[in-house]
Amino acid sequence: MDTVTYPDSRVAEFIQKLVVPVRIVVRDNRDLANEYLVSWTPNVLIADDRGRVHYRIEGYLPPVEFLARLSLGVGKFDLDFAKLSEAARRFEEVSQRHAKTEAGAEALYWLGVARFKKDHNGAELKSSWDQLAREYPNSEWTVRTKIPHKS
Amino acid sequence: MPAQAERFAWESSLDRGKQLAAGKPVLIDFSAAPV
Repeated sequence: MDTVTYPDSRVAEFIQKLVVPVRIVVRDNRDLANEYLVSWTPNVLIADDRGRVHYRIEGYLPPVEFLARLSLGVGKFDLDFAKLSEAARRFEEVSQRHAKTEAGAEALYWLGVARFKKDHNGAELKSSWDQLAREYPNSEWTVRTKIPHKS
Repeated sequence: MPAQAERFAWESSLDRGKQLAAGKPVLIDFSAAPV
C-alpha cells in the first residue's frame, strides 16, 4: 500500500480532502488491533469520531480499486448518518466511474437504499436494483436484492 | 497518471484522529509497517 497505492496522486487527494488518516502499527498496538478485530493487514477501516466502523477494506488493492472502496466507505458513512443526498451522489459516482466491477455493483445496491430512505419511494429502489440485476446478473449484490416473499 | 509523493500526513494516534474528525470519516489503516 505504501509503495504504490497511497503515493498515487488520486488516492492522496481523496484522503487529504475527505478523511482524517490514522496509521496504526499493529505490532505496537496489539490491544487496539484486537479491539477492531484486525487479524490481517492491510486492514483499512472507515470509522467515525466515536470509533464506530462503517466500512472495512481487507487486503492489498491497487489505486483505482482502493479509490472505489474508499468512496463506497465514505458513502456508507454518509448513509449511516442519514446524509442521504450525499450518500446517493457518492454511490452514483462509484457506479458510473467503476462500472463493470464488483465495486460498481455494490454502489448500485447502496444507491437504491439511499434513494429509498430519502423519499421512501419504492420505485427508486427498484430502479437501481433493476439496473444492478441487468448489469451484474452474477454479482452477489444482485443476489442480495432477491428477498423471498411469503406466499 | 504518474504516482506522486503523498500529500497527506498520517496521524499516529487514533484519539487525535477522532478529535480532528469534525464530522469527517476517520480512515484507520492498520499496518505492519510504520509510517
